Amino acid sequence: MIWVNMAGLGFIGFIVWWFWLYKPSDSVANTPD
Amino acid sequence: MKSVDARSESASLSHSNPSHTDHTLHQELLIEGAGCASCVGKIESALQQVSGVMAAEMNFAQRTVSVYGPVDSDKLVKAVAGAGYTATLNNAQSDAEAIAEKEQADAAYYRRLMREVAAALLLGVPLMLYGLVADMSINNGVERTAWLLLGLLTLAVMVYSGKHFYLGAWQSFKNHSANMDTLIALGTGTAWLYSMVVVLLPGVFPEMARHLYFEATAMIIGLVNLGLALELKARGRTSEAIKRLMGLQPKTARVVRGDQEQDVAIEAVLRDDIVRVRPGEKIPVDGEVVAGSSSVDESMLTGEPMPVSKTEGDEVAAGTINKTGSILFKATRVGKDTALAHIIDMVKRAQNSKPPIGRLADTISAYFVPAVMIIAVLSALAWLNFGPQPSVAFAIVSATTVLIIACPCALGLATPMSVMVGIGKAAEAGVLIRNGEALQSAAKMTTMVLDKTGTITLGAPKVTDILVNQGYDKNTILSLAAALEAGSEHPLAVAIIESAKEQGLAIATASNFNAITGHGVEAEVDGLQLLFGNEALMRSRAIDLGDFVTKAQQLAAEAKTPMYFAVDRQLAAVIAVADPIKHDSIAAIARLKENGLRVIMLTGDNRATAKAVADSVGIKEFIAEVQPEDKAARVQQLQRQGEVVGMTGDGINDAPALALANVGFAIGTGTDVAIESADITLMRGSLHGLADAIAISKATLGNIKQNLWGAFVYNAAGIPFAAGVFYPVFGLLLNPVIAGAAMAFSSVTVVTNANRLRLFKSEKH
Repeated sequence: MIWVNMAGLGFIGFIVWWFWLYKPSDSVANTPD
Repeated sequence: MKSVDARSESASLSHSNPSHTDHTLHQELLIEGAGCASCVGKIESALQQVSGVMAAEMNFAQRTVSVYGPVDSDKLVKAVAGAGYTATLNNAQSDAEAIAEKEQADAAYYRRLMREVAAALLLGVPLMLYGLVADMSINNGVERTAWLLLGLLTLAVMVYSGKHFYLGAWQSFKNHSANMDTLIALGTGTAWLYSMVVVLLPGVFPEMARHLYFEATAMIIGLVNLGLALELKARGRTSEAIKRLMGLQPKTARVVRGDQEQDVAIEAVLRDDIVRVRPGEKIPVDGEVVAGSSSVDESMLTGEPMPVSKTEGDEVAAGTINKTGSILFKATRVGKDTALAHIIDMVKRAQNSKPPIGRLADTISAYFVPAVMIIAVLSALAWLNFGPQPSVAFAIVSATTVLIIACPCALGLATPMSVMVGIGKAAEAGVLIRNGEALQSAAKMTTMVLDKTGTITLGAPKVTDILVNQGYDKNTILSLAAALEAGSEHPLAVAIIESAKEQGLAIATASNFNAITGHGVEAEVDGLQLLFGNEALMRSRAIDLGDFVTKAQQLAAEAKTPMYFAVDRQLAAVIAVADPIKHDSIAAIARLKENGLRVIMLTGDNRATAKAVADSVGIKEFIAEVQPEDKAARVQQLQRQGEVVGMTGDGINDAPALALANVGFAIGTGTDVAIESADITLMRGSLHGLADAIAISKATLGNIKQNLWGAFVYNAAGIPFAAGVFYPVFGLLLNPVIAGAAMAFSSVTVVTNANRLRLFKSEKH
């Protein structure tokens, strides 16, 4: 059960990052010259 | 603001010269597959990234995008395809053709949606009915094979009827955004995937949890598509106002070329063509009468019910009806340059625009969809951890239902639907609202500032009183005065000449004319020595004025300008000229006050005249002797006091004030400059248009709020129910199929509520 809960919370984390926190410039900013 | 200017500039460019190069400046694309308001931003930004595009503006309610800039249309279609939608270029040459093409495309889309609905429901309904009488679970090998086939059939339905949801969801996921498609795809996808796992690997779940939800998948796809189809039908009705405006223009015109008169298609009429219009016919293009006279019904353009008489030199406008006589006129503006075409274009653009309240809905939905996804996961986890057996089934049902019920498509429709209907309705009443922002501000106005000349009054002085001395009659006096003034272009002189002409009086020729600057004029007519001017002039010539001085003072107190008229050194009459108050200004101003507005009159005129006019129309606050630039300062001053100010003027000397006011109302005749410069244009000169505009704006804003409230509360309230909050106490858990039906119903409700606005009637006056 613990794994299911972990997966669920992980999925929530992914939603928050993907839809709210991610900025298109992130990938560019992190790319070394 | 800048982008709007750029757009109007480019739009007018394409109007002024419809050549090939200009055509590429403004292109219209028809969009398919845009299900939710969040698609608007995606499509617009995809188009804006194409190099050369100056602006892209989508009308969500019409599913069209206007693209401005010199760009190849193929690139635009590709850009839209890249964002996950289908675009076709609208090749129509005229607005009527554009609407016809759009209607054809809509009809085809409707038929396709209905086929998809039929396919989905054909599978979903029998399955659902079976579920009512039997157990939707697997008890033996035969059942397993049967369910496997049904699962594959459901997959076929998902591909055939629902692929636009899955593609849309994938496209928006790639763009880090989520919309209605995301929720439907996740909801139906979860239900189907779970059921397939039960079929293929039943051992994974406890026996109680081996329930199948294929019917939910098929039904949800069917019902949501049905909602889209019904919405498409209702949306067609919102463009009725535009269609009615376009229906005003006749299809052909009778053009005189050489000795021949021939009927030609309206598109073939050129500038400077001579066009004949017989009684009862519509005027096909804008022009100037060159022969004949008639009365013309301009009510469809201005809302003004009285026919206007037209004779040589008068302008006629396309779409108006020639009533009595046959006229010949020279075409001055044809095609997309006519006043009617400009009005249609402006209404279309306004219907595209979004009031600030609509942007609120966009912001909400950007946060709403991911939030719903989180709630769905939390709800599933809660059921798994704390729910009764079969907890896995409960978890799947609650997550699916949350995703489906919370779908915010009604939220996205709420604003554009009402704006389209409201602005169209206003146009029918002769009120042109430039954009959604003006609509919202008009509903919130607290103060209305009215210019006097040309707004409250007619703006053209007229002879109001002729007080004659013994031995004279009015007609003789008027005829002599007109003869005396015949050479002058002074507004007062023009008023007297007009008045004599209206009475059908003969105007003799004057000789020995002498203008006495600042005082009046003198001349000889038919051997009579005439003197016309103010009191000082009369006194300087030792003319006895008797008790006429008191009478003249009374006239002055009524905001009239009295002048003395002497014949052979004897006072013959006092003629008063005034700018008369429009016949319905008093009633219209009373309506504004009933609306709770503070009404203020501004004028450049002197205090006495201003007071007289203000008193007679029932305005308590007035500011006199104001220069045009000070008018703007006064508006600003009121705004600093916290007032939301509407300014009404004739659009030329009031321009700075109109621009500064929260809402600028121009009194226009439905042509050129005034329309371009104001937020709201009253096509008819009457101030009743102000009260109408406010009433329509309030009704529209109210309608938007009902829609937003309805859509949002509906979505938000459904979530706890769907998540199973009421289950522990009442044993209630929402079925995903019911959620799908309710969701489709909510969109239909919003569209229907917006269409309710069409029943709005402005007060009779």
